[in-house]
Amino acid sequence: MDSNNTVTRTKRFNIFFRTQHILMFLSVTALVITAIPLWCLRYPHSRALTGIIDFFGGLEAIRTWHHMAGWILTFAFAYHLLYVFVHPEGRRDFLLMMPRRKDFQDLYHNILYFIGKRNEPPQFGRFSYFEKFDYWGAFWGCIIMVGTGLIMLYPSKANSLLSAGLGSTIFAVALEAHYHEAILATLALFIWHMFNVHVRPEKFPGSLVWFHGNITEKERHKEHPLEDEEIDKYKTFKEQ
Amino acid sequence: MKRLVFFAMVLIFCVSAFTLYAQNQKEPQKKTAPSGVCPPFYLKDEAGNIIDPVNNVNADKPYSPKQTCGAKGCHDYNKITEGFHFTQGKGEKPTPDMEKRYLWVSTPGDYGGTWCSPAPLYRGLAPKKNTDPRKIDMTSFDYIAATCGYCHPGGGPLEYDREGNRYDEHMKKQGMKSGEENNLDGDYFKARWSDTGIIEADCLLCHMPEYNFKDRNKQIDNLTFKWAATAGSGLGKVEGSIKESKPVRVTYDISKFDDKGMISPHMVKEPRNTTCLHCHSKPGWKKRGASFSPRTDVHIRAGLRCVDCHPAGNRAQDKRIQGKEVHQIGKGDDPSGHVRDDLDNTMLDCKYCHTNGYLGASIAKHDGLPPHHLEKIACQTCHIPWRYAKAAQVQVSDVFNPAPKISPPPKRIWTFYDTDMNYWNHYGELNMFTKEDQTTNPFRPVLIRYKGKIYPANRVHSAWPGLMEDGKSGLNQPLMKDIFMMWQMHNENPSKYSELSRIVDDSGDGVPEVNKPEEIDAVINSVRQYLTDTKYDLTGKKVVWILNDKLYSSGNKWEKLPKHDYEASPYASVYKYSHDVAPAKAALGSKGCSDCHSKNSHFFFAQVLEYPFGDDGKPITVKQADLLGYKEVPSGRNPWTYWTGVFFKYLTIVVLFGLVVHMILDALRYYRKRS
Repeated sequence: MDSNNTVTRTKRFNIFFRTQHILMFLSVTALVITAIPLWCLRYPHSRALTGIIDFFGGLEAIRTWHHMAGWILTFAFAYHLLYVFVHPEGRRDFLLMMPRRKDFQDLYHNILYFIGKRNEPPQFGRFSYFEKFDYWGAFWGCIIMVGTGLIMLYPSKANSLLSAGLGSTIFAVALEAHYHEAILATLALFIWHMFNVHVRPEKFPGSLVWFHGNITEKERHKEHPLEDEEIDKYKTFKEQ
Repeated sequence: MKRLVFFAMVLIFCVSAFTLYAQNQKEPQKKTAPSGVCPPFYLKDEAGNIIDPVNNVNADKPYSPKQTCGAKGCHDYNKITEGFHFTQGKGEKPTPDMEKRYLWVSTPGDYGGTWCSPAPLYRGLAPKKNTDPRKIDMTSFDYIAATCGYCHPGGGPLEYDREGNRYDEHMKKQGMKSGEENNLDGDYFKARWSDTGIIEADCLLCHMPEYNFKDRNKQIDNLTFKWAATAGSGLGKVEGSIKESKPVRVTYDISKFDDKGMISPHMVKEPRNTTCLHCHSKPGWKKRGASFSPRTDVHIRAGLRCVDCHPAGNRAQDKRIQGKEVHQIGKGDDPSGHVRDDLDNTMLDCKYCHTNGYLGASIAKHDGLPPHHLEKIACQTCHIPWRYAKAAQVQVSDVFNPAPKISPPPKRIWTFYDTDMNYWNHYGELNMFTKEDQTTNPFRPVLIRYKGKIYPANRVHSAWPGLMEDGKSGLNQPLMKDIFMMWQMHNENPSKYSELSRIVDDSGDGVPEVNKPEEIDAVINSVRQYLTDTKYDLTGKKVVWILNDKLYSSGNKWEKLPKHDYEASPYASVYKYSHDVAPAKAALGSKGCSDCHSKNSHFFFAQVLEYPFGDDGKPITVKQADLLGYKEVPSGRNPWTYWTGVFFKYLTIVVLFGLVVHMILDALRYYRKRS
């Protein structure tokens, strides 16, 4: 807040990035909900769990919704890749997302801070190490989920690309990976990401940066004090 | 010099020309006689002499298929009769399971094996050597006369004894007497081979579409065995009966012979469906509720023939049965069929035709179906979702069946229940109906897991009195006729074996069943008493009663018998369903995944029979999924899948542990700082 009691805001995420995020959280939420009855399919011999499938309208209906949500996620991921390749801010942010030695130093520093061995938390650049963890978790998660999802959606095509016999093994592995990665992603999202952006005392009840893309200068100064310095370094790197 | 060059060039030309000529010369082809259609031929008698009724040569002799079709330069009779249709298990060892279970079994086939009955009691082939005539049930001679010969095409055990001797010749050579005890030899005891002759493999039985089974089987009833082929072919009329001591006379139909006395009958290479079904239809009905009709089977509706999928000879694809004279017919793999198990799956399976379009088969796509379905579930499971005619799901052999038209009478010790556990007078229906008259009784098949795949099957349940023998594994069966006679005597005079009166109907279906301790004791005590009364030596033997896999030594004392998961009983058959296939549009899954994956689906949640009678006489059932052993998704067994699961599980644990610790430390620091 400046001397005139007005809050100075700065743009953290542009419309393209926010669109990707919105598409992603809508699709992932739908995927998680529709995955519940699909998970029940692992126990086809349980009448109670099969009843949940029936409650959701039957397997075909659930699959249709799940596939639609999956296509939206696929689109969001493709959109993100295009954004990274085409848009200058996309390229910049992608490079700034790359893990560095400082991230590990920040993690170590932060743990010392948590346990009271340091008085101040580490100073982060544009993306803190835990935001990078979120990003790369989602990035590789998308690759696994979209890849395995496509194998399961088009088993005969997948089979034709592979030798006979191996195709069904690939399908079974894809199914298993899809199932476990879904659980990992869901738990990480609903525990870690929700904590960091909603439950964390400084953030409660939640930041709207995902919606309008802005943060205050105060927040920026507090959470990303080294952002300008980092961006300058990126510019220097780019000019070289 | 010029001349030298000229000669050199001529020489080079000649050598080159000769070399080219030599290269183009192939091995001269061996001349083979044109084959495929038999030319007109003479009938021959057993001695190989021509039968020419036109010129009245040997016209009083029955013809011999062996000498006629197997004549030099024609067909290899010995090779042909190695086929399992002829041997019926003769010469084969029983499977290890059979050896452990059945004390009365000496081969895996119909001859000497578990017969064609779904469960005991049935007539057992007597051992070759015997010491007690009281224990001889069915000899090789009886095997023919007890109607087995109706379907058996001859050759094998209908021609040679267990030591390879031709019955009639051996009998004469050894001086054995027709109808006498003949050293209690299981092949000759009270046999009349020297009068009846033997039944050679009857080629025309399969290869003549107009073959008259009725006339052939009449010869079996009359014990005029060696005349059977002549009567069945219609080439001659046979009159007389060995059984009734009436002289036997053959009169050939001259109209079927040409001027030279040769015949050229209507013969086909590949038997027609009606020929196969003449033998396979009735047992198929009892065992599987099979109809083999255009109404129920998409393949028959499409005009396919049995031999299209069950080829033999040169048309067989499988090297194990391929060859001109090899009469091994391509077969599948039935859990309870053990004749020539080494030839299992020599037929053309579903995949063969439905992946390459053989004989116009539609190409199976199964779009969207996860591949493990095709790996773990047999085609039949989805494509035979329903059966349309009753099958015998339960055969009990411990009570008397008084229903009408059951013949011959000893079959009254068999009581059948259909797949809905309703009493079924199967033999009464067989007496009245043909397969065209089968009553419509749709039912969903029970599913079993067999050799790693799920199949639809009839898992037969059984209850029967048996005999335990000291120091021997497995069980023996009392003679079928003894149990029948015991009941017969009790029915005529209820004071005889009076305990049998305790057996009553508890289930309310009007049919008595053995299920309560006092009823079990009644069966055991009565059988023991009858056998003792009739001088059946019970030394070292104990009468027991068996219900599926429970062996009762008394009404309150029982032990479990080992069995395979797919079996209901170690002493009852399991018949896979492979015929009466529904069109793809009626298959499981045609209405979507919920055909199976819904809380009311038959595939997982049907209640299937576990024991036919509980304490209240009503059936005890089990959930289909439990019978199939479902505990987790089947794909978990693949090692790749297993290790993928392990990797992700540990990844999840490690990542979440780190994240949760980070969050807790973060929150604790925040609150500590504030305080």
